[in-house]
Amino acid sequence: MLRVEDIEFRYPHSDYRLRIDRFICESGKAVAIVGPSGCGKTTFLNLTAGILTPHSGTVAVNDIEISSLPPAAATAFRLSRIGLIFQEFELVEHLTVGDNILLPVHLGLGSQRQPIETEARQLATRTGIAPYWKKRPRHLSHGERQRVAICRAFSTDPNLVLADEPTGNLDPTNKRRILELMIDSAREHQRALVVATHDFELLDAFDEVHQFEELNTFREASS
Amino acid sequence: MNHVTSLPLLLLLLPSCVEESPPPAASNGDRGRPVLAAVNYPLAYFAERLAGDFATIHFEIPPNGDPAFWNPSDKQVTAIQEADLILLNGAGYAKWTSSRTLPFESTVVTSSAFENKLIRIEGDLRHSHKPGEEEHSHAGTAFTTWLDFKQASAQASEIARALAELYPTHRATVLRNLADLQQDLEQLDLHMFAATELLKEAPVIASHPIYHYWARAHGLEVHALLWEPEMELTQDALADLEALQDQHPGVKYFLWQGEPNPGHVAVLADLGLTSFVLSPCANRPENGDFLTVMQANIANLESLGK
Amino acid sequence: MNPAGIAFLSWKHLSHRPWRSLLLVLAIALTFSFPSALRVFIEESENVLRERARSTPLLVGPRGSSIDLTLNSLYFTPQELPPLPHSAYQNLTRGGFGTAIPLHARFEAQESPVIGTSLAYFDLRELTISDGRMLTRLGDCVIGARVAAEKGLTPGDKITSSPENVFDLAGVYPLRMRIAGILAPNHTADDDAIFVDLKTAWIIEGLAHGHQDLANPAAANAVRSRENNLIRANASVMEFNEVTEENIASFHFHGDAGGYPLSAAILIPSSDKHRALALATYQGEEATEQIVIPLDAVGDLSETLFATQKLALMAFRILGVSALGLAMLVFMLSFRLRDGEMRTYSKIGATRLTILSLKASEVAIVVVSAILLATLAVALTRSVAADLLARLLT
Repeated sequence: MLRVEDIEFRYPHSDYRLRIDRFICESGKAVAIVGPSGCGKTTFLNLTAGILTPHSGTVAVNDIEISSLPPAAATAFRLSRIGLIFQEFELVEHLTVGDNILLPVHLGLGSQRQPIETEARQLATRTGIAPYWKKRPRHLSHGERQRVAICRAFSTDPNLVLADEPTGNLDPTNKRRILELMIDSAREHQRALVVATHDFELLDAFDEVHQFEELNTFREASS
Repeated sequence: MNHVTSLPLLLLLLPSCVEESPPPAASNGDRGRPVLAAVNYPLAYFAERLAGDFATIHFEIPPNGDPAFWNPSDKQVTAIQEADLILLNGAGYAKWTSSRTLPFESTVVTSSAFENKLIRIEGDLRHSHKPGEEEHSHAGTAFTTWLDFKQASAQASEIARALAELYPTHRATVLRNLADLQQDLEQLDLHMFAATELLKEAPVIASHPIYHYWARAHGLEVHALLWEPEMELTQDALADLEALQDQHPGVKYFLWQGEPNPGHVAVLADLGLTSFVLSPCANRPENGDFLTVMQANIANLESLGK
Repeated sequence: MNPAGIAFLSWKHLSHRPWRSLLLVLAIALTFSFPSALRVFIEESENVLRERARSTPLLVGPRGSSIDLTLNSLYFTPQELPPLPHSAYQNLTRGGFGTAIPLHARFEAQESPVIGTSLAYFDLRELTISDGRMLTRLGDCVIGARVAAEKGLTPGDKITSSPENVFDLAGVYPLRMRIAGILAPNHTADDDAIFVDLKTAWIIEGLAHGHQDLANPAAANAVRSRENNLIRANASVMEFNEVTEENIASFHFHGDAGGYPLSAAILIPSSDKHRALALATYQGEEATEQIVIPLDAVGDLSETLFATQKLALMAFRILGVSALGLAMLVFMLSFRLRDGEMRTYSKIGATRLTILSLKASEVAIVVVSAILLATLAVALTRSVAADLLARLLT
């Protein structure tokens, strides 16, 4: 479960400010955050992931206040408990598909290699990218790369998955399929799934949909 | 009595035919026993007399071969290279030694003590000893040095010096053996001197130009042809003889290097020449040794006066 | 942090750019190895030179540069030295100082030096025959192991001496030599040389030859005049350019043997006293030859080598610093270009320590590989130094 309360954040040398009074995503639920590009969805996800630290407020995952953890601890928590799917996928081009999926293992979860790899290979099979396990990302289509990113995020059995525009640039059929895959997995394994998207035709698949402009109370207050 | 006849040269063209089986390595087998290689039989005999107790003498020239014109095979040269001492005659004897590779430090030039008294031979009397053989020449330096027994004694002395230097533990033995050998050579010299007295009256004609030192030692005048003991006496050969007789009137004796054909003796007798044999003993005799061969030579001379 | 994972990711990136990685490794390896390799080479060279010199007690040769004489005698390097007359060598042997070994090192055959000497040379250098047999006659040669290997020669083959000057028709006559044997390698200049009997060298020099028998009617065309027993040949007389069993008896020498040329003579004194006597005899002002202690001459050469080494190392240090600086720059630029990748790792959950370890690991792999390669290069230099020196000097 993800719980965000009273967080405030601003970038240095920028006018942009963010304030979220309250945001909750229960375990096993899929929540969509919609809003136009540049409204702060990515910033919000980075704050919930612990990549950025709010100036005030609390971010807790399964009651662990990651916003209060020292940076190293927060990072370690993110590595093992939070799965991230980036807008640009951010695959490492010189690693194979398999090594990209297992990046969390290489970066610190070596002791859990076996269960992670087992889960990763099953996911790869289910998402149809198992044949590309030893290939480099440049040999894959846009949709296949997206699936690699999804496998990477889910392989560590995270409590929380944050996905930033995961269906961007996919064709309608694949969009629906990818989203259903993510949501099914979240429900099956009781993960909290938060998806930032501006794909309105998919919103019916989510348990909750929030307009980010309504979430960001700073914006509301100033407008 | 057997003596070395002037037999055909070893085939220069086919040395491998001469070598019937691999020669024993000059220093094989008894590794602790020194090996002395000699280029001719007299030196081998001297070496045997001086060091036969403690050394092995290597002299592998085939019987009836002429050591002066021997052409050894590569294997035979290799065997000689391995000897501890290589006894050379000097005076240009054994031409093969100048065209083969021998370890200089191991060689002993036995005639070095009298090298300033060697006899130069003028002219180029090229010949072969039998049909089909490579011709050779006796021009250059006379090399049958041992036929002057004083020179032979000096050669033995040179061998003894080298042995004593190389094997100091056997010095006493060598010197003792040298004394015995030199006594024998001195006796030979005395008897030869006496036996050649009757040859001083007139020049002697010899079948082969190999008696220079013997002649000088005993004050004799010897003129040589190029005859072989068993060759056919052709008209040319007899003409050469007659020419020599005309040049040197009063010649009574004809000296053969080996036992001649009885027919030749008769022919010469008709020409007023008495034949006798003086074997140079350059190669190992079938019977006897150097001493007995020289004693036989002396006996031949002595029989002329009877 | 997962050290194995870090190493794995580092290795993956390095192997993704193999040529760049290899160049970096080579550049760093060269920077590390060159000074050490040079030092090792000089050290080994000095040892080899000293060993060769130590095993050559004394050299007697023509007056002139003692280093030239030493290099020519020990390494058969071509030198412009006057010849040593054979009579000087004969005097040396008669002097009773010890064993004198003649050396004639003027000619070549297919760029390998032809050394005329005696059998004692092979004992001195502990050279043995690995195939075939030792020299037995004029025209024979035994060849060094490397000559045989490089030219594909075996016993029984022939090799012809090279004319000094193709335009000098009256000069040195090429002699076709029979290879009697091949020497076992001894990692010195002897491996690159062709050894002949001294007299064979004189044949090449033109001081001896074999030709048709002028008394033979078959050679009538070659006879200019015949007077009594004196036969004069004309220019058409055929001289043999190879010694065979058939013609060996025809080979003869002309002139006074005392004047025949050598390059030098090695003297192995039979005792310290004889050594002192030899030095006293040949070091006098009136001596027409010089006597050299090769170890002393090599000592002088070593000093020159060390001075050269110092200069070379100084120059290389400057280059080395530049090379290392460039390598660091390459790494820095590479990491700068990979900022995005590192941010991805960070976002996924790599700590700052992990990111730092990743970069350090990559540098470490390159540096350790370079060090290993440098160590190998230095070890290789040590193992080939002797052979390399022999090649450089011949």
